[in-house]
Amino acid sequence: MGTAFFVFFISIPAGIEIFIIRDFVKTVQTYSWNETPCRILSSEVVSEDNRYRFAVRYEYTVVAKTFVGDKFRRNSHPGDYDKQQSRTSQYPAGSQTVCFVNPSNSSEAVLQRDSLFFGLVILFPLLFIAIGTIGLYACWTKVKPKPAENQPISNPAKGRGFLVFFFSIFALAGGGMMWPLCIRPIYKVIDARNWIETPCRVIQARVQSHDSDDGTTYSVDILYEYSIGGKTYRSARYDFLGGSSSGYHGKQKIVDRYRTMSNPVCYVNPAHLSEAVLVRKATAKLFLCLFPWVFFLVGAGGIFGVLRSSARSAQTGSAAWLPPSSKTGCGMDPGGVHWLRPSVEADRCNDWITLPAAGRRAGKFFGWLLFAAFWNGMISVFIGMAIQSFRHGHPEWFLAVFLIPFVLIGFALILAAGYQFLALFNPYPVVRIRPGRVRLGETADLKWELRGLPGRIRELKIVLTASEQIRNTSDENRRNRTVSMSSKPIFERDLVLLTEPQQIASGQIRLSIPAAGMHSFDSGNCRLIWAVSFLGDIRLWPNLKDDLTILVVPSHLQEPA
Amino acid sequence: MNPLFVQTDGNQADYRPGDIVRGVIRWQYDTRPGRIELRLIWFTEGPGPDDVKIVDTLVQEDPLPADACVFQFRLPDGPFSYNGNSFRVRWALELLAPGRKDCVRLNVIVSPTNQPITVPFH
Repeated sequence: MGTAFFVFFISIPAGIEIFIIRDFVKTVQTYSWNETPCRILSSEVVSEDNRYRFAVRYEYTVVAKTFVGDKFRRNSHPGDYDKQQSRTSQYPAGSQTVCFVNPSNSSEAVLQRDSLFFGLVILFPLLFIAIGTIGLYACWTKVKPKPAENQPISNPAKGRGFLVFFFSIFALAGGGMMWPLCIRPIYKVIDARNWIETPCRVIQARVQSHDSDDGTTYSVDILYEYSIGGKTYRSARYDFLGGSSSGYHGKQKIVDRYRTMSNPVCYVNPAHLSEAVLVRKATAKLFLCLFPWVFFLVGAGGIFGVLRSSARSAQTGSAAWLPPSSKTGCGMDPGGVHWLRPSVEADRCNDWITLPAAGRRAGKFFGWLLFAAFWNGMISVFIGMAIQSFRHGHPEWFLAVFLIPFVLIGFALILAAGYQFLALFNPYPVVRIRPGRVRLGETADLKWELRGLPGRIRELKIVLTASEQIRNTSDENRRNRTVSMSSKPIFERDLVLLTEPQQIASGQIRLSIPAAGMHSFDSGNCRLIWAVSFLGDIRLWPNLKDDLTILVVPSHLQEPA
Repeated sequence: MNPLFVQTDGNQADYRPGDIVRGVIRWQYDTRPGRIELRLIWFTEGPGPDDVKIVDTLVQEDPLPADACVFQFRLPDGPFSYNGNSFRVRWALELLAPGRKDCVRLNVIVSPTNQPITVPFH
């Protein structure tokens, strides 16, 4: 099933990639066409299907034969008025310029060659092909092969190069989008503060519709004229971001306003008088700037994580796992810690140290909230479609029934987020332990104080646990450093069960660590975590459940002389 | 036949933390192998990505084509060899000739009980 899904997942971008590459090859071929002098016969902006097109005709001679070309670029499409207008200024009628002629077919020529930057578009489908390939690989290699006996385990891990390449695609995609979606618009908004406010005349104002497979989007299309420096110019630029989106009524309001405006003004670039804009301030559309950052940060973060993980794996040295030195003299030999999490406080071995707050409540709440928002946001699109179909008298019953389990899951996620929100207001334990590092087979004193209305807790249980955590293979596909817990703790011992409010509010107990157990361990991808869990039963409210990590060390851990 | 060979004294396979691991390594090539390395490592095994740490290394630069030498490593205090539900921690001596892409590995146990720590704990 997974194989079928990922094969299907790969096939669509692969198909698109073939078309993109074919088109790109044709673009590259124009760079081998002959540069030929030509004369512009006509040059104007014409309206076509609610958009504007640069219509040009030019004459050139090849081997004593004269041809007339009308192609501006191999891939030129109708677009914004401003862009087309600037081309008429660049290629005015009667001017001499050069065109590029196909040596195999002299009747084929272009005035300008398409940019090779278009080749970067090839990266987009590659992204999805890479994701699908990883998914396919994960499906086929559920069982990790054991390393061959004659292959060293201790050499730097293979496959990191592939991961770096994979994340580079994300980073490049984000970087490629950065200029048009982020840097250029922001630069223009800042630069436009010095542009000249100029009265203008609205020639035409309408809402332009753009149909696509995903539906219809709309854009503001206002053609205006202004005079500056003794010359008259026309422009159709509304703001610096452009583009189209859903939401017809908002755009209609803008168009209506400009149709009836008595003294409209535009802002003219003093450096390029043909460049103007109606709205120069930052608008909500500028939030699109964040979009390329998502790709870029995922890519850059992934590369950083892979390289950091490589650096950690490559660390050597006999002291590589020893805990760091301590001022009180209770510490050990110096060295980086890679299997035992260090704690400066824990080095004061005979003092009380405060265990770090669990801090997971807020994380759990925001995690559930984001997941609920993401899930319900996704299905709301389909719910909207189903509702629309009923309202228009063509009910989509299959869609409606299909959505039921997804809607139920969405409700459950909202409830879970709500539950976690209430849990944020639970009492919380402040816990101290002595010694900070507890040796296997030895005991430690634990004292606590519950803050934030501990009287609400009817029963408090304190449990000593040890749990394993590993970074799962499938998590690589999500490019997350998420960990998966094993289903139950590998060690669990009830330390105390209290029902008296005064005893619940604060107290002290002694805990002992089994002698034949495993110490705390953290190698990066695998962890063994010892913790003290505070489980409180609260009536008509989410129960208290806080886990505080403690450090358990080998009984042989050497003290300095 | 593997041109590399590693053996601990008395073929000992289990040690306590802090013990000294002694033994001998041998190699046999037709020409100089360039470099011989003996690494004391621990590594994790599990369904997810594995971690490897090189604790100590003995290097023979440009040795004779065939030779032997003794080695000695002091084991650190941890981590212990461990067989858990989700992952394992193992120790090994890994002898390799990087220039020849040959490798041989000898697994050892490092634990206060001379056996890997297992679950459940007692």
